[in-house]
Amino acid sequence: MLDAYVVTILILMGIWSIIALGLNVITGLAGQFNLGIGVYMGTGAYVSAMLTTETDLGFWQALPFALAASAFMGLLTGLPALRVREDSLAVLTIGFVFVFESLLVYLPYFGGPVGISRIPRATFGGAPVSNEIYLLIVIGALALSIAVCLYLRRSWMGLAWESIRENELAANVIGIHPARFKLYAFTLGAALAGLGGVLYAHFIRYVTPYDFGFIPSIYVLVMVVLGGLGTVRGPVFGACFLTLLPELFRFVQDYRNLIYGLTLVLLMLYEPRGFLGSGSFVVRAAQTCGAALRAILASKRSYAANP
Amino acid sequence: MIESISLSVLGQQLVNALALGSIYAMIAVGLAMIYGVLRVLHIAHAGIYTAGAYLGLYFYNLTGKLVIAVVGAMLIAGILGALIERFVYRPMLPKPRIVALIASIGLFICLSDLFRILAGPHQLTLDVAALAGHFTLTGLTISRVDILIVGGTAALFAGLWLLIRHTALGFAIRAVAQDIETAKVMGIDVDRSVQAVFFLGSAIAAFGGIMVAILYNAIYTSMGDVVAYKGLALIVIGGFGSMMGAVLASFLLGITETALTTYTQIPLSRDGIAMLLLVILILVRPQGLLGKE
Amino acid sequence: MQVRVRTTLPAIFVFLGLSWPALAQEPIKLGFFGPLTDRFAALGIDAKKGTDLALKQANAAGGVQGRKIELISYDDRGNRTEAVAVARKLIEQDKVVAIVGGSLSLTSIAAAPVISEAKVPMVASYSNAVGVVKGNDYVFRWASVADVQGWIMAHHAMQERGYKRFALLAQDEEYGRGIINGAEKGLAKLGGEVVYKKAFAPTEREFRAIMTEIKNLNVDAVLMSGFGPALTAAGRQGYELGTLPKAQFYVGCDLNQIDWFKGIGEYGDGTIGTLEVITPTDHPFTKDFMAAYKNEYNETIITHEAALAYDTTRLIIDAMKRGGVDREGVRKALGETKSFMNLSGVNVAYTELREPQLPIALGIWDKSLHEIKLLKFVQDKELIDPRPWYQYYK
Repeated sequence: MLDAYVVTILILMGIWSIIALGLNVITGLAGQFNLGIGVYMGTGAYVSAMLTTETDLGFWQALPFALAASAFMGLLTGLPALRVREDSLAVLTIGFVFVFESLLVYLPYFGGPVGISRIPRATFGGAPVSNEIYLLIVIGALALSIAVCLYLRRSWMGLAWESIRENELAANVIGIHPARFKLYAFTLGAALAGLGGVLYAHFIRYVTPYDFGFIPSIYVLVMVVLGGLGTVRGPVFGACFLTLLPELFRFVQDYRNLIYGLTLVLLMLYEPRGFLGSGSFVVRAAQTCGAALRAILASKRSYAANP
Repeated sequence: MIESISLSVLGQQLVNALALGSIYAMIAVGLAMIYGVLRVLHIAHAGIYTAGAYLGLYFYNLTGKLVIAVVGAMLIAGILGALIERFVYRPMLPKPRIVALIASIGLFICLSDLFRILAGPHQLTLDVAALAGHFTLTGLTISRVDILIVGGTAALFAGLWLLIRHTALGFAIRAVAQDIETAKVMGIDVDRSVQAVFFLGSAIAAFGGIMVAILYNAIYTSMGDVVAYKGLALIVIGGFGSMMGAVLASFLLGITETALTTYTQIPLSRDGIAMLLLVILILVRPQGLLGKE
Repeated sequence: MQVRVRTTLPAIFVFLGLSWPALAQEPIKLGFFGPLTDRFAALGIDAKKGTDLALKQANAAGGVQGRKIELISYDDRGNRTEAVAVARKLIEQDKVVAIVGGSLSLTSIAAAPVISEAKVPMVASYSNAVGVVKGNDYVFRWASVADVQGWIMAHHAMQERGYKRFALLAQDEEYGRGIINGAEKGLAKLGGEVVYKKAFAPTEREFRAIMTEIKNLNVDAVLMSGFGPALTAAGRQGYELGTLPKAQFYVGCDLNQIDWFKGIGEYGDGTIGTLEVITPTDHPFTKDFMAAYKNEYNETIITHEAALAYDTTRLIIDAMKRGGVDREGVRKALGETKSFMNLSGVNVAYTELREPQLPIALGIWDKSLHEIKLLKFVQDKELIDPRPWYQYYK
């Protein structure tokens, strides 16, 4: 049995990875700025929390509704996003996340600022699961998300996104309809972030509007950029790294935020592609090592061939 | 639900709105200038604003003179802004836009934590005796701080306008804001112009920080948080990079927030209302109030 | 990518494994978490000061059963997710006997169920929201319930001052809403009229529009809840606009915060606030505490976080002495507490809800003396009982 603290950290790493992958679909793959991922995460979390506390639905029955709701929210916020791009889009999504948070705070139907408490645990075979089993569920969800992202990247959709990201005008000329593919990205990314939100809600088991505001959204963006925008390994690494960082840096308790901020600035100065972005120093080093290793192995084989 | 509006209340709310708008304008104008020349969403500008408040308090405690505190804080904040430009943004210019944005967020986090480490976690106060008090004018209560804020903003903006319109430096800044490459070809010292913009913008933000500190008698590490994103909203509403637009947007927001929080029962916080306004405006007029498409 | 996840996870285990504590016989481990950095840092740091002082005194007096007590403290940055993580760390890795303090209402409310399920006793010292304690069998409180403070304000305003028309301002989170809920229900019960009610975000500092509007409504009193900075900002602006002191200003709970002494300065004369701890009492115990605090930290103003955390730590140490140095023992002893003397020298009754019937003082700010004067000391069981307020929370 694993230590419950380690399980907690691993679950959080998994959840943030899924959310970061969701943002990566929108910002990394399709190239659309989004500083408001909290909207989708919050939609998933709130819908699942409301359904499981107010109705008889369990975790698994509520899940499809929560995912559909967050995907729909992605579509809804994606529509106005078609009108604006780059910095305007970035600021527009900040606007979304604040309006979303504000609405949750002021609509008593959603629990107001106090939020929703006593959210039930996820169940398996009718019984509430332990945190160890929940970790397996999170890992399963993460594996699924990774698989989806890898597939998306290599599919025709990924190619279309790439062309929009590189040059929207040119994409239009070769017959790719940017609006449609941008909406796909918003919808799919939002669904992934919603999945992360659902998993978050049933783990912390208490949600408030402030959990899905601007600061958490920025935090996810930082994960994605720090790991490597546009790759699949990057966001997962960034999410794991940033979840672990405050825990690892507990010994410098007083200066954690300072170190966190400095890391961001220095990384953007010297390795803006992120730790694991394509062409970053880590990836280059890994490639060099791999090549060297292969060369050594190859040379060994050649000895074997000619004794 | 519209409640009965009495004339004196309306006048008082207008005074309140004007002071609030001036505060927003002092932050937004620097952001708009900076966006104008570098196309950077300078979130750390809110950190400079907070630094201005802390520096002002430091100098005020040191000398006991408000003028020295204000000038000293503006100078140092200006230099801080120029340093950020030189060592953070300038190397990032050729890189994708998101790089500078993330760096700016990192810088803002750094600055906020630095204030906590240097000045302690408790809220500090800047109680300037000379500015305490108020006078009543046909039923309106106007505090001395209000006058200093509105007057100071007006004076600063007048000076800024003269500088931008009628000096060589102003011409250079305008040229750089038009197009960096062309400005270079014309023989304009682009680096110096950009530095000047950061210096001016940061100094004005610092002035704003001190004024807010005196107005609310409060200096605290997270005082820039709200400013950070509201400032961005203002330069978008105003039209990216348009200084006049940013100023106009600031006063409009001051009036709207004041009016909507008092005369309606819209179930949103002040910040929520500001952001809703932003979303609607971007959708209706993506180029902003005074922006050119 | 999946390959990378598989290779990095074991590495992390190794790292965390290394930090597992060696099983030690001595000293007794007491857990603490709270916001030590970030925007709520002032609260957590003050609470830690109170806890540290109480432990220092206890250890100097020989500890418990001859063993010293060691504080294991973690920062949660006022962040719910981190609070849950550090709570599990205290429970599983540090194997603490009990947890002292808790954190803000908004973080404790997420960490409390985790702690309770792990069967570790915790005494929250400055979370006032009902939900922190209710339903969590191992979580106790040494603070008042937020609603009680509102009820006492309302009661004083109507019964002692005879006010009729009220404006309510609520800070929009668990704590602020609780106070105003208490005030509103109390006013309704006593027949007061609420003519104005607004909620504001905890970050709000601009109240002039609201104060201008209230001025026009001719209210007798303004009842407001919130953290220090928002309260002082509203007070200052209200006084400047002439809304106050025309209407009596009541504030929920933070009157003894450092913010108040400096923040409102020349403006808040006559403001009445609720106090959970009364430090300017003549009781010898209070005097000793204040001297010790000044000696330790060179500070004369004691915030209620520091004072409540000091009492909380003493209560836990007392429970260890009575029930033994293990989790069940401490919990049992805490549950059996009938009364405990707080640092104001008052014997406070403990209820079966794991809540104390903490007396509340009403203090009034005196500008000329630059201090909070004791206005009224409320010990009436009917007023300070936390039990009636449980019905409003799930």
